Amino acid sequence: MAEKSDKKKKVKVVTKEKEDLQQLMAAPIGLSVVGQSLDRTDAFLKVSGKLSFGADYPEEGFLHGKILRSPFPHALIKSIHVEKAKQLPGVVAVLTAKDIPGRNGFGAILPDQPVICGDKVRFVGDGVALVAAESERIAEEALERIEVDYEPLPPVFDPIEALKEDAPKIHEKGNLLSYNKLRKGDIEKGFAAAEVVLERTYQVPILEHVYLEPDIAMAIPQSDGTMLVEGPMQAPFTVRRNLSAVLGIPINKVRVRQIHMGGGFGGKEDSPIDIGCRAAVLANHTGRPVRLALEREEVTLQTSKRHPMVMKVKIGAKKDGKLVAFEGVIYDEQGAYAGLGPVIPPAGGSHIHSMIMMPGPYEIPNVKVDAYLSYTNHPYGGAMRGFGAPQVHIAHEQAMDELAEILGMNPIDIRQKNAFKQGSVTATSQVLDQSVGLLDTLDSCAKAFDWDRRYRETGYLDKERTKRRGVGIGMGWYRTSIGTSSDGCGANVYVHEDGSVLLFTGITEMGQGAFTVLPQICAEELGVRLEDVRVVQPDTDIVPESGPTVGSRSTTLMGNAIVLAARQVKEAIFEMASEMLAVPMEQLEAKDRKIYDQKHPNQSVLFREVVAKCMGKGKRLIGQGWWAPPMASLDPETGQGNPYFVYTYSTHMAEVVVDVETGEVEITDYVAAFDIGKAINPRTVEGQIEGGVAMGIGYALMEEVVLKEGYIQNMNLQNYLIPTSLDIPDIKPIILEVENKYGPYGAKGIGEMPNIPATPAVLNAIANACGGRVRSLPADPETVYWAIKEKGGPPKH
Amino acid sequence: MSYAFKDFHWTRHIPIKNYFLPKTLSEALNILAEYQGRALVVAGGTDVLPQLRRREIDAEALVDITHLPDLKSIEERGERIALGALVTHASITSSPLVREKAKLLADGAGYLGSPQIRNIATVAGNLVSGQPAADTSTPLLALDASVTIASKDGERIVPLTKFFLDTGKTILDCRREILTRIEFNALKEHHGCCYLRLSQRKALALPILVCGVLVKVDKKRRVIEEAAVALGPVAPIPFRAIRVEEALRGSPISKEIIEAVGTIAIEECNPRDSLLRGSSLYRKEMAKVFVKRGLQKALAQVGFPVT
Repeated sequence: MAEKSDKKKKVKVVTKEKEDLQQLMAAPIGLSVVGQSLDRTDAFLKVSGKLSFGADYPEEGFLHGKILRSPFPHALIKSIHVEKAKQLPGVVAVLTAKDIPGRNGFGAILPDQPVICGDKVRFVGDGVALVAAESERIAEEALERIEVDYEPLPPVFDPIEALKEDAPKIHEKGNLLSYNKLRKGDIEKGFAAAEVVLERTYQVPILEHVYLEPDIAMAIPQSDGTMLVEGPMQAPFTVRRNLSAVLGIPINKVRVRQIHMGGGFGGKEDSPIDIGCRAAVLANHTGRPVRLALEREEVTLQTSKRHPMVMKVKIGAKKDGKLVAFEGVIYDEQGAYAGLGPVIPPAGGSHIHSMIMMPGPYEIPNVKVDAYLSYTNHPYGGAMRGFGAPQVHIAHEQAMDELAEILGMNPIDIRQKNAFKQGSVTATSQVLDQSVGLLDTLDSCAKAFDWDRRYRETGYLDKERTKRRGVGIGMGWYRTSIGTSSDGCGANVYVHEDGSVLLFTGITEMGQGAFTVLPQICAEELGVRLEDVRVVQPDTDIVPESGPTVGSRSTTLMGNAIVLAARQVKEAIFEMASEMLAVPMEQLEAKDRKIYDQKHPNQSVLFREVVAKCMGKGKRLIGQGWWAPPMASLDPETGQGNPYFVYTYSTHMAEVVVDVETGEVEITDYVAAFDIGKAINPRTVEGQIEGGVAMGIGYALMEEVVLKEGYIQNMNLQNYLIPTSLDIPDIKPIILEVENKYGPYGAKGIGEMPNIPATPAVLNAIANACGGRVRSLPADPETVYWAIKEKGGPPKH
Repeated sequence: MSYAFKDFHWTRHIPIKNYFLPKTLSEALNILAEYQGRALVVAGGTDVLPQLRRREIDAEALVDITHLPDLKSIEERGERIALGALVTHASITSSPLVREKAKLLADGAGYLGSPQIRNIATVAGNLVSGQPAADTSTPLLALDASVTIASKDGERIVPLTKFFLDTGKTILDCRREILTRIEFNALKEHHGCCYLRLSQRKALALPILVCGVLVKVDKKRRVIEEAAVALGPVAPIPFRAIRVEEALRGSPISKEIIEAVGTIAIEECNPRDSLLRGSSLYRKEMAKVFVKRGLQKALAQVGFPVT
């Protein structure tokens, strides 16, 4: 690596995108900003409470929007009477389906969710009318005065039931939204060659993201006919596309502006489309600014969820643990609307992602997966930290442990034997030719956790034999992209006459640290300090297209675009510095606000002086970078191809203590190792790891949207439980850097990965501790208690 | 399947017309009388306000009693400890007197909600809400608590065992009456006690099961003289497991008796199946485990470990 970097250090200034990627992205040595655990740019404002979120904005001048919701999971709307609501003083508009100016449908992928339902409702909480009033209180009162006659229809709540011929049809086209298949090798021959075959079914519930900040959207009509929509969102460009269609105006008449966001976890990819369109329709109708803010219960009721699934797994292996065949069936429940479930060719959408990931990060010669995505009358599925991958990891990682048990193998040995390494071929026949650090994560995690000793020493902690300790492992992989043509990222870099820098990107900050990591990359490239670069809040009028802030893609994809943009500016600056110092351009280096001669480091000139001079001579100080990963491919018939260009890898190990009399689980230790290519800001990476693991623990132990006949039973945080700090152990993060040749400084994504193997690691530890295997989540005390009973009681020793 | 409008629509606005801050008890009672049931007493407000917001209850006026005098004290009165109606959970958990002489109450109060809630929620309010899962009800039941209820007609003192009627319902009419004082036994050296709680996470979670246990032993004879075992939420109201207590009274301390009363505890419970907090069957099983563990822990405190 050092040799390559030395070459790199002779600053090859690149302005053409066609330049060789590898050379472009190779890591230079002597980084001064990248790789440093610099303080987050938003840390002080957030901890001091000075940062304004949407709910803190003044309400003066805004009308308040409210949504009338369906009280039925499935019903026809026979009639709606709004007159009494309209008569209420202070009510400015009461809208029904006929009032939508453009397309009455929105959605991140397919626009099948009505902005206002016209003829039928498909889940409890579906919007049937919109109100705008002078105060929130009046708007609420107006909702009560709207009279709707419904004719309830038989509902369907199960993804398998929904596929039966006589199931109630939720959408005209039927309940099967998507069917995908993956075929590799010869599955029959594979199982014929197997010496051990394991078949299991695993099931996961619906999850709510529980981002701290409830959704809010503000729609502000502009005098020139443009509609401005502001809010916290992960995908401003997707919101803009939907607004344009719903309002029936061209895209250049829609402006979407990001405001500070209090958490998203994938949930704010869908929901801002929903409330953004609804607020905009009201604003468009009234000609006045409209504010639409959801209460916590409304967030739970109305916004997207993590897809629940039933997953059938059949694995065949040789006696030595080598996998020979994998067959999987996924019944994936989409809920009432398409959300982020269906396929965006070639490999986008959560459903196809689940299918691709299902066999796990293992070399298996024969693979068959069938994946069905069904509409039901439940809340709809969207993105949630892992986008269909956490579910299937719960299946394959538990299956690996169950298989190991049958074979009498240590769970880490069976993984060692099958895990991806450089050159491995995936289930989609993708050759993993670079940056494959999975086994490194296994080794370093096992070492730090002291797996071998702890695995031997599991057993009771007390002489009454009530508390039993066990350990568990979870391995995983995750992409750094979305696998569609929307992966392209644009960045603009403007350098000003005083040496300060503005960075324009469409990537949004939701707490993950993008507004620290992205300017770190920019500062490194330009040779300035982090505090010299200000990131502009995404505004679709002024930042280039970037796709959504999802798929753990920001650091890598946008990072590359920033590098390219910064190098354009740097070219002008070096030209000028070369003149000023009388040193050839290729001999120059920029660092810490100085440009200097590498051969004579005392020979230097201040960055801002060079910039001022450039400005004076009319030189270009604007850079525009664009980067898209190598094009994704996936054959729709066989599921074969290269769906995502690079993957992050991880191994987690957990120690738990199970109370075998009550089923209570306490997590007592945790180590998680990651190959992330390069940590641009190691402390931010550790933050992602700790937060992600906590979320994965919640999935394992307590989280579930509880539904009864289509009605959510736990709409607020009194009853929807996520872990508290007392439920989370100290987490030891291990960061490994196996260079990604397609990443800035070698970086890969980290946002989603930490959450994914955490859940099966905990479930495997529970099974190891008490014998009880929880195949239907969550592993709450009662579930663990019955799992122990099912196994014939707690272990004797 | 009937679901009301309010089940799917939420409001920040709490529709009350008046808010009173009376300075004396009689003033507060007069306001309540004037409103003839349309006004509601509020202290910490951690139960009342969410209920108003969810429109589970309604009221024209709120009578805030936090400015009434002399209701914030925690005092020892002979063999009893008295709490004023405005004593919060936080002050109970940090009170040296309660920690020394009614440890199970201090522990129970410390489990309720979050620090923010414990700082304003009153113990009296916890009782008045009448929830079987209330974290101070079972300890107070075990401590033979009684409550003083003031109304226009005067005061009455009611044992806590007669206070709870049904889930969310007590003999106190919080639109006419005010709970002013709680009294309970101060424990002595030969008492062992504990409060045990089962929930889905370690903080800020409603319990699956709570259990308050108190034992008084005759150390010479190695006999349980008296035992109090209170359980919740395994029936419509929190209750004393009388048959468990009877079986323990006068019984020699042994592993067998502790196992045996666990089985009796199951018979005394009548929990509903809850989608959120466990099946009836599981909670019954847990009543057995927790009564056993509670007794073990309480007996160990007075020098009789039973395992």
